[in-house]
Amino acid sequence: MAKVRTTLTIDDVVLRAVKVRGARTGKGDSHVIEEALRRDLGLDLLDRLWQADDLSEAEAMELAVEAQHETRPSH
Amino acid sequence: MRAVLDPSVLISALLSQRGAPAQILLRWLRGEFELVASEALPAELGRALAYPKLVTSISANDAAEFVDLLRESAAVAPDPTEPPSRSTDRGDDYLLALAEQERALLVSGDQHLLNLTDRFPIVTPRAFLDTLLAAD
Repeated sequence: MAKVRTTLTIDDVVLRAVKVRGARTGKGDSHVIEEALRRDLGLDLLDRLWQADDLSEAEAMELAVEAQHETRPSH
Repeated sequence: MRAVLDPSVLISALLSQRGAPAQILLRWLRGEFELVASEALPAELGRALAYPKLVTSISANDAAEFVDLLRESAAVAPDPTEPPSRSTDRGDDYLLALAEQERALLVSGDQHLLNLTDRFPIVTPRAFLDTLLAAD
């Protein structure tokens, strides 16, 4: 994935926490911030789920519709 | 563009990276359209994600995290009150009413809803993805 340079304005306490995390884990500020954002934005979650993915689109939709209908209170 | 995604589309997106639902989900996270949800939608999503056939693919923690993401990141709308009966599956009616109330497209892969495309703005995930691609 392409990396882009950007400028952020963040609370100095947050930046200190980033630097502490970076020092403890041996990672740079950018890495720590990107990891936190990926977790918060759900991107890590999707990566995790999709690692185990082995269904076709049609199979996934069929199972999803079944789950939705079978768990409705009126069912 | 505003869209209501049927919970089955969201679940399908989590189950298969290859399909249109997954591409739609990524494009929502990139801000390419506004996903509209009322409380009933993540509530139904949470129930469905606990379906026994799904829990082997999607853990309870991941399911809860995804439901939270939806609650935090979707445009929140009020639940439609007493949605009129339109679908042959009464459980679909809140989705139709929500889309109508919010002037949004309803994206669904459920045949009960797709049978109503002549009366309501309902599209398949593939058709919605094509619309997003065309807007690129």
